[in-house]
Amino acid sequence: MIELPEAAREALSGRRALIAFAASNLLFLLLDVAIAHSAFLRSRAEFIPLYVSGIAGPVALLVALVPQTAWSRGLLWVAAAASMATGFGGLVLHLGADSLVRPTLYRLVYSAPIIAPLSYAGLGALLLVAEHAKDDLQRGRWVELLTGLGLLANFVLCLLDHAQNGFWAPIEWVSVAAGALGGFAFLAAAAQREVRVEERQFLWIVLALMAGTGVLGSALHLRAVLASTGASLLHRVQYGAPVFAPLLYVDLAALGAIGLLARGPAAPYASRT
Amino acid sequence: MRNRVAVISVTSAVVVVGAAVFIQSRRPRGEVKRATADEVKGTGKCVECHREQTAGIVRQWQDSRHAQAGITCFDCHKPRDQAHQLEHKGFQITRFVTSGTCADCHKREYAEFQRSRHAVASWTAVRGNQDFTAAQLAEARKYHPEAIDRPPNPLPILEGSGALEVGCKACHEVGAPNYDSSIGNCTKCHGKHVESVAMARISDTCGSCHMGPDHSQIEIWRESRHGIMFVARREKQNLEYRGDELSANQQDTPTCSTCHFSGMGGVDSTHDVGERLSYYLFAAISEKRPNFEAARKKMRFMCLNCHSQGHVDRFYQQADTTLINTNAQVKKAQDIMEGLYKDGLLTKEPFDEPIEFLAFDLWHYFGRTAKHGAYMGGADFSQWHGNYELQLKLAELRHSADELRNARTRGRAGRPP
Repeated sequence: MIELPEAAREALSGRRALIAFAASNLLFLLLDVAIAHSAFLRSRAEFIPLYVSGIAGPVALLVALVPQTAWSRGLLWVAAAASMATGFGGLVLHLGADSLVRPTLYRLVYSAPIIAPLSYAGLGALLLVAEHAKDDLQRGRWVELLTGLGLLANFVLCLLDHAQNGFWAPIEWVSVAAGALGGFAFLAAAAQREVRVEERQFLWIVLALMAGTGVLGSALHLRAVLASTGASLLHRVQYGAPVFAPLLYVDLAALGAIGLLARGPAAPYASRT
Repeated sequence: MRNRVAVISVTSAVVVVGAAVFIQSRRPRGEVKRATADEVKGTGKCVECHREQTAGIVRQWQDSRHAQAGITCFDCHKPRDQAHQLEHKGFQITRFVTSGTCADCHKREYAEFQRSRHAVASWTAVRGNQDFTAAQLAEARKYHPEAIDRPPNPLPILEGSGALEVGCKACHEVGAPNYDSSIGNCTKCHGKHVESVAMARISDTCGSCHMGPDHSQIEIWRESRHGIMFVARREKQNLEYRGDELSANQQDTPTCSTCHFSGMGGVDSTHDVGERLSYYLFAAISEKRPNFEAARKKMRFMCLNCHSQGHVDRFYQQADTTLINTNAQVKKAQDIMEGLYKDGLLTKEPFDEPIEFLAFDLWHYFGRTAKHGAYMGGADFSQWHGNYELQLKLAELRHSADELRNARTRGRAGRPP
């Protein structure tokens, strides 16, 4: 059972840690989206997430480093709002107007990744949680909620992405199952004011599974990219299996760990009636 | 419950993943099938996307001889010049596969095709000689001097450019010039991606252009014994067999290509559709082609693969007689029209008076049909859609000519002094 000293716990799961986590994610998305959109670049809207990542990421990082003031809070709000708007706007654009009117399984599978833009919305929400949580418990539960939602979104993302492949390799189901398990586990945890020792242990095991799934997925995607044919390595990275995408599991495992740490020690069995 | 989180999450995950597995199992096979490593290698990666986006052409290529021979998408879609190349997912390709591309490997077939009326003469029949270079025209004149230097056909001009695009071009562009100086379009007969010998061998392919009242070869073939026998014995025919060494063992009932293109019984295969044709049957007055003797001999050899000498002799005698009679009927009509032009009863403008359409239909529809029916064993077409209609139109033409003359006479009589 992991129980850290209070100072370490605060350093890893406090306000600044959360904002820094969200900022680093926004900056990483700059690279990820640049690769994903470099294949198309058909409309100006595809540049929006690049601008948002490029501006909101450094702004959030700056806010994490400076003392909390009205100015820093305002900047964080703007960054969070821009990020959330990008996420929901991206969802609509990825779905496409037709799909909104008449969604079909086929269209969902073969459209742009509809869930992916929601990572911006999640990061925006995370910035707000970091700034406005009343105490550790509240912060921890909100972070667990966002971890659960993120993992469920990853479940849908993996399901649709691998469905494009027709689940050609059975191992593609692993990430789908991991997303579902992790998502429901953290939603269930967030719903409870207190988690027991056994539940906490289970959640840490789930987080380890998520991290393992992410590393395994990235390795498999990288192997597929290197083994595929293509005009150049850049082309293979652009059109091949997304190498960075599985790392979202590692990322969400880290977020879940922050949530568990923020919540504080587990409640003893007898504490719940 | 000591571990509510575990119970809820495991149960929920099992339910949603189970539902996903169920839905996946019900998806159409075409959606879940993925390109194999061999297919990806065979196409140079194209199949990875095109299996989803244009599944039909991938399957057609897979079934083709090109695929068996290791010809990849790039071999045909490689750019032939900078102006017609396209950046496509990291690859430089061209969308325009020309007969020049085919000629890289099929030189003999391309050269034979260039000698045929399917090449330059086919396009000049509609657009005149304006689209060809001087060198291309000079080469084409060696084979069809009478059909090269001509103005654009007046009918598409009269009907409008739309008629040209959706009508004439669809067939006549088999001989259109390409950007890479090549001429023609092999895929008109062999198909794109499927690149099929069998497709070129079935009469329906020829019939997609050689049909209708002005060149009703496909209808005549269907009426003929050849067509009926082919339908009855279709599954016994090996349409994929090599065209230069065909025999009745592979194909015992002929399609258009058997007699006009295939190599059989000592006659070499050809892509020059006129090589075995002895008369210009499409013309108003049919005359012998320059290669009449050689062409007649070759076609007779083809007939002798299945028929007796006496049968072939009788067949040609009857057909030649029909041709001579049809020529005589059409000549009568031409004389009537020439008289009207000479007497100033018609303008020099083509197709501006009803009688000009009548005179055109007379030979273009019914004269041709009478002759084609006779040379292709289509009795009903030769008689009722050909000769009978020819007589009817000739009578109508005479009547119309008389009316024009009478109208002038009445006009003169009624004119004030």
